[in-house]
Amino acid sequence: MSKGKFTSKEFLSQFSACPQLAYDFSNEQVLEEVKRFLEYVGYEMAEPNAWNELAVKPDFYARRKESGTTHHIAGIVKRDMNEAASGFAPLDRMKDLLGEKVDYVIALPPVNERYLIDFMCEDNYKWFKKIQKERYMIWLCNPDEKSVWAAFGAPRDKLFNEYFKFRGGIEMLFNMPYRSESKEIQREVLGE
Amino acid sequence: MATVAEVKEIFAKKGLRVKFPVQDDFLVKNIDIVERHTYPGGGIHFLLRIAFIDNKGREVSELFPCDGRIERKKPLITVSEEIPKPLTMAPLPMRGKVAFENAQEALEYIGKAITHLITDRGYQGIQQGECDLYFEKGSRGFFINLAPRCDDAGLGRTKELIRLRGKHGSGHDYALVVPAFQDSLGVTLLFQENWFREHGEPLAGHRMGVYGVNNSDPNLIFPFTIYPRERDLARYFMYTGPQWSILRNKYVSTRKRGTTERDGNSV
Repeated sequence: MSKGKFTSKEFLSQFSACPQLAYDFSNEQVLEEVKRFLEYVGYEMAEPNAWNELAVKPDFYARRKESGTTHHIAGIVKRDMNEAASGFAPLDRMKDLLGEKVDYVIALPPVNERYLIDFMCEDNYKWFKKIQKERYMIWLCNPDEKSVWAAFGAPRDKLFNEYFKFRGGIEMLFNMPYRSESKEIQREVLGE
Repeated sequence: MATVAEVKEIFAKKGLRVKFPVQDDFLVKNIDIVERHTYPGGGIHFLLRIAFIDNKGREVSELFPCDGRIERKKPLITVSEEIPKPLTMAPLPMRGKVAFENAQEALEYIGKAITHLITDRGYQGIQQGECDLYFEKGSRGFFINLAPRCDDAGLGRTKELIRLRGKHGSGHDYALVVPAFQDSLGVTLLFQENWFREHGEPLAGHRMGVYGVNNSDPNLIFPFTIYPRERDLARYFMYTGPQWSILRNKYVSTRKRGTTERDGNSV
């Protein structure tokens, strides 16, 4: 046991060594889980009308018809937070063509929350602001548990809320992202 | 820019009467709610940071503690504090013991108990064939599977319900019903609780209710994961939920004295 005084800084430093992925799932497994989840919610896997015009194809695209309206969702699967940043450009290009009415998702296997938060805090919350502005979502899919957690963002189709294991929650962990004092506190506490 | 008087009017329109300790003709530049507390009687306490321009033309920002009242359309009543309606049907007879001779006896017992509770809340039993028991109230269905033990077979029964949820949608309730204590059927309380530790969260994620019927009193059923969507039933389970820990502790303490459930004593 350490003889020194126990500090929160020391305690938090123990978290920094955790691996990025909480479970090891391949992209294929995550994609299968996303498809299963969408079918579970009531979506049908499909191709968008403008499929041939899409320069970047989504990994999954599905639609659900409901009394007069049709909900659409498109997304791509990424391996971890290092890859996640490269997922926004394809989503932007899809959004340019498919429009605002489609929900856009980056699906990931369960990533440790710390990496998610670090990712969102990067470059003065660049990705966080982007997700908020574009209404993108980040889903964490666990094929073993057959569950999906909407870590960031919310879909336009409210039926999803009945099926997500959790919704949101990450925002709370790095409370008030736009406040400079929270950044200072984070820097001070984590010694960054 | 609004004046203090106009801001008061806007608050009043929202049903909120707050006394501002600032002159009515001052121009308000910004209002931040720094802190807010609401009280059950409708009282409300705010700590407001008001930036206003005073009579000398200076911008002043100050903190003001304010008390007021908010008019709510409906009183906020926590459902769990409300005593559930008494049974309209005659209660089922007590068993007087907690042990089951075999799984079949347990299944019959928990089947009768859950049927009694649900039909008492206005549901109608319908032969459906996809699950052990199916009830309907209006457009809402209740799909129930029975299991004598919290084990792999019990988990399999929940997977069937998850499949049904994918087929019939989230507008219905889905539940696995088990005996509250399963020692006599070969599953210890420790094992049972580990089962819930491992599978409880994923099952709740799929909105699968797991309900345990008291072994000696069929009129007492405890919620182990989530409450059903139907309000009357949810209220019943909110009421019985806290009783589980009491009964569990009583059961454990009885066991310590050497009288196990296998002896058939009532808890």
